[in-house]
Amino acid sequence: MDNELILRHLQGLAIHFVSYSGPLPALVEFAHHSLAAASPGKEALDLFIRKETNQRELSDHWETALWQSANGLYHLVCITPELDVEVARRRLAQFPTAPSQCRWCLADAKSHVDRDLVKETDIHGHPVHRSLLHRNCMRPWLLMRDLVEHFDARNSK
Amino acid sequence: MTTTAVGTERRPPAPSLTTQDFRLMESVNNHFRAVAPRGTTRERCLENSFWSVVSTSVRPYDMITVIGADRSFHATYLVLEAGLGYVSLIELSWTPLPALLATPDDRLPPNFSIYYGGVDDGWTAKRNSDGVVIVKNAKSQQDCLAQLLDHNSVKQAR
Repeated sequence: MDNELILRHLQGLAIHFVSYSGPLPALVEFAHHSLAAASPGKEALDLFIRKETNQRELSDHWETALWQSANGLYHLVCITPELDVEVARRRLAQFPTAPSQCRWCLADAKSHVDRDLVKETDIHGHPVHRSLLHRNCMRPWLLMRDLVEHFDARNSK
Repeated sequence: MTTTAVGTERRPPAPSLTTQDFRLMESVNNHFRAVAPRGTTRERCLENSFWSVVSTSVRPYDMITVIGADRSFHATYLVLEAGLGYVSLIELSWTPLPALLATPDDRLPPNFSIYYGGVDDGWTAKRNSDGVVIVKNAKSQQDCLAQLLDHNSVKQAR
């Protein structure tokens, strides 16, 4: 079983869907079809996706977050940081429709807000109003904020 | 018979600490953290008027760590004197903070672009002028940028 190939395909799925959340069998099915002939089989893929070291590997080196949330659904989110300042500025200004949604991946945690999402804190250490994110989504979000701050600081001089 | 000259002057003992001089830092001085508003310059941090509102909260030999609200610098200051409306500071350190992300403006060399080329190609860096693919199959965007910056054609162009 070629681990890197599976990781590569999971990354491709994450970039294709941007933010996917659904039951594990569906995710396994997508990965199985994406891998096509190279697929090691659905059972092996199921185990591969569940394994925590693979999830860690994805988030550390492949800019892809994969985790199971409190309601049992699996999330596959692309956490490639935004490089366009104007896009980042627009995303930072927009809020999701429901207060229980993650601001990066927009997945709704519904009644599991306290377990799934963490508050974003600003530079003073105060929570940002209505800004909740998954732990995995926090890093690209804060990088996006840093990008805009630095751009403004550089251009205001 | 020789006599050795005995010094008659009296010398005080070498200074040494007493228990009164030796106290817990937290019981005497404080370490404050300040967030400087956007656009604060390094010179402005040393001006009296910048601290006028909070100057009564600090005492001599307090430390102040200042962070720019725009995340552009980190600085530490030692308070020499402070009171109503005045404060004297010594700058101990002033460090400009780099951006966490490589933005196209500062690190990505001109005439290059980075895009995702699908599962087979991975993250790819392309030279815009002639469409030559410089980096292929990078694991992530940041990895692709690092490989691009490390590439000979980019190094020579600099």
